[in-house]
Amino acid sequence: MSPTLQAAICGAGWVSADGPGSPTGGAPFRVGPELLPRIRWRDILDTPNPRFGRLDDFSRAGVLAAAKALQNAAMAEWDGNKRYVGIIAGTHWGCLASDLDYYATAIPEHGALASPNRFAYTLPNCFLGEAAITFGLTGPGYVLNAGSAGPETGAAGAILEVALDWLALGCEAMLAGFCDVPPVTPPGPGAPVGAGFVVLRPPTDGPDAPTLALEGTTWQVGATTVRTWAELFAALRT
Amino acid sequence: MEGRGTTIGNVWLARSNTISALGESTEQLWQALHQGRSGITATWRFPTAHYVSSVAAAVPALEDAGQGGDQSSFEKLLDLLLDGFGPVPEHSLLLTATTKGKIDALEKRERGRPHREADLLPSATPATVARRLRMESAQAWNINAACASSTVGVAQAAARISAGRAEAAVIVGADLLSEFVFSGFSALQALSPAGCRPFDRARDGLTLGEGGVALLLVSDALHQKLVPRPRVRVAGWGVASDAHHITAPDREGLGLQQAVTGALTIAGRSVGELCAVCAHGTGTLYNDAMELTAFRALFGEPLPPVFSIKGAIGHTLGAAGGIEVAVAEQALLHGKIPPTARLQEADPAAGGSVSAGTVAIHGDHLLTTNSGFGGINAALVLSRGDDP
Repeated sequence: MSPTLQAAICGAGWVSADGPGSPTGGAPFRVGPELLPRIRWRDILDTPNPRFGRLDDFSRAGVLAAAKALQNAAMAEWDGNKRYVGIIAGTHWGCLASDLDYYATAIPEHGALASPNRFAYTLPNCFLGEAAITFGLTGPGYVLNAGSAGPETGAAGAILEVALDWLALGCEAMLAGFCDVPPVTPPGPGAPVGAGFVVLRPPTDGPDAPTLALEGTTWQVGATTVRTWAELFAALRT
Repeated sequence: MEGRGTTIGNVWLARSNTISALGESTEQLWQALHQGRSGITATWRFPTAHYVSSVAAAVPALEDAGQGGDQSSFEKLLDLLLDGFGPVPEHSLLLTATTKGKIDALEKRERGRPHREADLLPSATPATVARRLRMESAQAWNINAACASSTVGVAQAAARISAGRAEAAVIVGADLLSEFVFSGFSALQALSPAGCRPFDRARDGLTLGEGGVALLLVSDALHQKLVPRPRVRVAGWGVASDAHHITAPDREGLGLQQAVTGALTIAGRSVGELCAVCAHGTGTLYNDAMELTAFRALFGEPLPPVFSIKGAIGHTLGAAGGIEVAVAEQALLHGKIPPTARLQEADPAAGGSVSAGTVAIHGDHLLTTNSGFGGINAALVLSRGDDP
């Protein structure tokens, strides 16, 4: 039986407990409850990013992971012509940490000191906008939150399926992944901290790349079944 | 942008409901819009003395909701929206579209008031909606695409149904009027002090509203069972990013143009076949200018009739696009678009396309557009009747 959906995995990248990595080098993907190590933009790319310093921690993690993935896919450099490439991310915590940071400025003086700069990052899709600006990505960029508790419950599969939907609708490539940075006092049990993305293209655009396929309800990377981001990234690691 | 042609079947709007400052049903909203009414008024939901505006479009039934106990007012909004929405087909997809969900829980938490910790998580909204609709077995997802969230939800659902990978989908979009968001837009100097005037020459900002929308989209097969005669289809969808700025639109509207072109490609229609545009029309200087620039680039001169309902019900954030789909459906069925409420003197750039009165429309295809933070843009083509 032919797979329901299929794509070529042309790259991947992540920032996790041991630092940035990709299938071809750097730290392995390892998520745990500990905070991410401090990662600088130049740890990923030499090209300056003047916007990076103003980002909140949630956005930084997401943009770094997207940068690493695009670098691995040889797509981080671009010639100024924007590309119809989208980015879909799942998140358990969303931008809750940023929300709390912003609201702390809005409470005193009945809002007179509310920070517009912090408010700008109180939507979880904004880091996708930052990645879009940095890398000239004009495809769909939005966030999905699962309705069930737990950060990995079916999350990877749903994100991947949405990304493949958009590939079928004409995007040149899609980044699919997740970003999770909890607030200092999280409301609930710990969730993996980190961010990671795969870069997907139509199968015909990456004939030598690993294949991602949805076989019935099971996702496969080549012959390996993957159910979580960790399993997917491990399957790509050479 | 060329679509790769995975569309197969029609996607029908089988049912809708809306909650807004102008009514607790789509029918009430539609009537109020044609009366030229506006739900924008002084708000007492929170102190506004230190904000650049004191007006908003609140849902009257929510004014005292959630104040006493630990329950979020969002639950009351969902009660109003979904009670009576009716059963949904088995195995329907469930997508919610909210930008801040149960944001009042965060506000209460930070002010030391009773709240539910679980309400702070983004998962709270889709989980709550799933319970309300008795769809606990469905994998419910919230889409956060800023102010284009429910439009993107419709697009995503339509793509699945059209490709034959789903028979039905429920999209529930909702957002509260909250001090969290109000304070932020005030800090950005984006609020109109006296109330928004979309596409007006003297427009000076947006006005926040609150509201909700529930839409049931179905395939051809289910449509024949559920709805007595063909009504309105979601014929095309497109989503694109500006890749320009986080909070301000690309002045040329290139992302919006790309989204509209994508929607037209899937619908198999040309711009000349669109009889009207339900625009995002927030009333900010830059958004409305961007939209008019994009529309002129797409349509040339003259523009088709363009309208915005945000002068009537405010900007309802995640719910906005979905409410506008419900209104656009009525526009196609009745052959007329409502006034752009609070319009006094249209921006010359609109070229006479925007009106403070009801306008008759002639045609079967209508465009809706929304844009949001992060540079997201989404467009839908709605078509009346069967695909000829």
